[in-house]
Amino acid sequence: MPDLNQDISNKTLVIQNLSKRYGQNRYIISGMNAEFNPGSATGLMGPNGSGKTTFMRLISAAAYPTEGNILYGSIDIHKSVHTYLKFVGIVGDTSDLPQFLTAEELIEGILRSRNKWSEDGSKKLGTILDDVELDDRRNSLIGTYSSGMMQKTMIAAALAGSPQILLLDEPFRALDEDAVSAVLTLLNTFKQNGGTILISSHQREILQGLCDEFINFPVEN
Amino acid sequence: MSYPKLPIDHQKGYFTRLIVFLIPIMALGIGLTNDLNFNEKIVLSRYMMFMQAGLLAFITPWIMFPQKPIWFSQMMNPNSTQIIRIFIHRMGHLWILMTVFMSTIVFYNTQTEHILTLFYFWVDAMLFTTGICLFASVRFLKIGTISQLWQEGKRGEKFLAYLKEAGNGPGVPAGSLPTIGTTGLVALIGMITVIFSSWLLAIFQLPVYSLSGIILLPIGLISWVYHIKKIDQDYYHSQGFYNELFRNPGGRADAGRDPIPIKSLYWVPGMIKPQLWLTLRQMDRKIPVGRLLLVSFLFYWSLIYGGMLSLQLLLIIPFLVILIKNLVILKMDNKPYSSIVYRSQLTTEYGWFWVRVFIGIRWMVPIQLALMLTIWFVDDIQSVMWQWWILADIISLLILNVFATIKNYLTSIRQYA
Repeated sequence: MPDLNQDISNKTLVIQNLSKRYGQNRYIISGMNAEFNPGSATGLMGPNGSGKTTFMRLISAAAYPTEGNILYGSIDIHKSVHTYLKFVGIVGDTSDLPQFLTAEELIEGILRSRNKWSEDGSKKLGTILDDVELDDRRNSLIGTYSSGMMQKTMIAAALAGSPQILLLDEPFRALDEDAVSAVLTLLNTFKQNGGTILISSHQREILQGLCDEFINFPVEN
Repeated sequence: MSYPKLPIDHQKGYFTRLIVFLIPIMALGIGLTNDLNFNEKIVLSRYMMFMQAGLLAFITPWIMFPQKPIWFSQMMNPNSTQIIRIFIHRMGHLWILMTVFMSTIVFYNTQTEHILTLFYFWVDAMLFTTGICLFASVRFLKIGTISQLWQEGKRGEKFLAYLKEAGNGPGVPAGSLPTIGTTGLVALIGMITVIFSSWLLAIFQLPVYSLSGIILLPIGLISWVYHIKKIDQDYYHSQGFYNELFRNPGGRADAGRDPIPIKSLYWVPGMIKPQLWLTLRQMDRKIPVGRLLLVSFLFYWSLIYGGMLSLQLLLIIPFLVILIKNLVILKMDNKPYSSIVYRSQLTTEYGWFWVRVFIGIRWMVPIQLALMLTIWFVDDIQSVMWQWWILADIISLLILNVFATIKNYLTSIRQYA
């Protein structure tokens, strides 16, 4: 568990009157309020361009709101980004992964950077990569991976740091059926252990067994 | 406590590139100081401090933001120390080049009786370079918050309304106006420091030749100390803002001006016309080459008008402008403008060679016209120089393109191997 100076005894993720627009164009998200509790999974649904990715960027502190706040416990996530990200695992866009590292090296680097690397780190890492069904090419350079393998690498990286929140943007993109099933099992276990999941996908049927609720974008108040 | 180094900023060939740039930088320094006496060296060094301030003011935001991929930063989750290390890594390249350049100017061909005086001057110049790097980086680090407010119309309403009334508006996204303002501020602070230092020395008759570094370094350090507490907020906010600015989500592709029509490329061979058109459309949207050239020449002419340039600098600056123009074109080979797959689908590397050459020719014409005007009005420059500048443009364009073609070819082999 990360060491925090700030009070996060209430580990609910709270969205308060959140609005976002790019420049002076129309609002992509307007006046959104929501709460995401520990041990829950929420599906973000909606057509292309409806604001799901913008919301994911806001909730991962990759973008800043036009109005409103996002709180994790008492932390304003856009003011204490480093503290907040200690609790977060993210699956995002795969196109910019470093081409000349292996999946194992990448995840080891992430864990070391987050001070989560231990003596049995290699063993744990092996288990996670087994769980997401990344085969023995995990020691090959990422530049040689298929898009599905890159996706598995990101999912493993997101889970490896023992986060309390998972933010997953289209995590099943490019995954085969077996891999989808394996990832769903991992996510269900994560949720049962008290984790919070926010997941965007166009495949509602895949999420039915995982998500407790769905938010439809564009959000209307 | 030690923190692991992050591969966030992993760049292949960092040191090779550094050495490739160091050689011409040292050659330029040697060329500039070859025949100068002690006093001329001091004067030249002060001009170079001016130029450093101008360069840093312009180039810092391009070096610092946006750092891709953001996912990598989020997952690595750098703390304050690691964020500072990322910026040192990014700015370090430029700092080394500038300090080597200044060191060459100060110490090359130095008479021994002045060595101690020059040593002190050199120390101060190093402090100045460090100070301006620190000041520029902190000013641009914290620019995300204010830029977003301008972009969303919450700040600067009156100013933007005035610009609209007076003409066609700012001509750039409103959110980039704080960047332009900060560019001016950094350049101004650097230049004023040099002038203030000279004024102090003249007033108090101090036995040294510069106080610029001693004045500027504390300003840079204090700025950093003041902002270090919220460095993660500033880092992510500026990252987020510049990502939005460059990606332009929710906005029109071309704000304020029409994109280049393919018809206007009638002078380009049909074999590469579509590729050139696609490249120019991207380039015009994101790299304002025309404006950069205009600003460069206005600056150059103002220095000539003020009698601030020696004959050597009069001749060398156009070579540098030409070289930078040809180097900028190579940016179009890389993400986010291009990729190996994109290039290989559209034409061969041979075809792309000619695309880059024709982009170079497009900007060669206005540059050479501007240089012709310069020769016309400046008596000190002989007309034969024009031929040299044209030759330099053609040769550097071809050589850089040959290197780029080889590099792209090798990268594609490695990718598909």
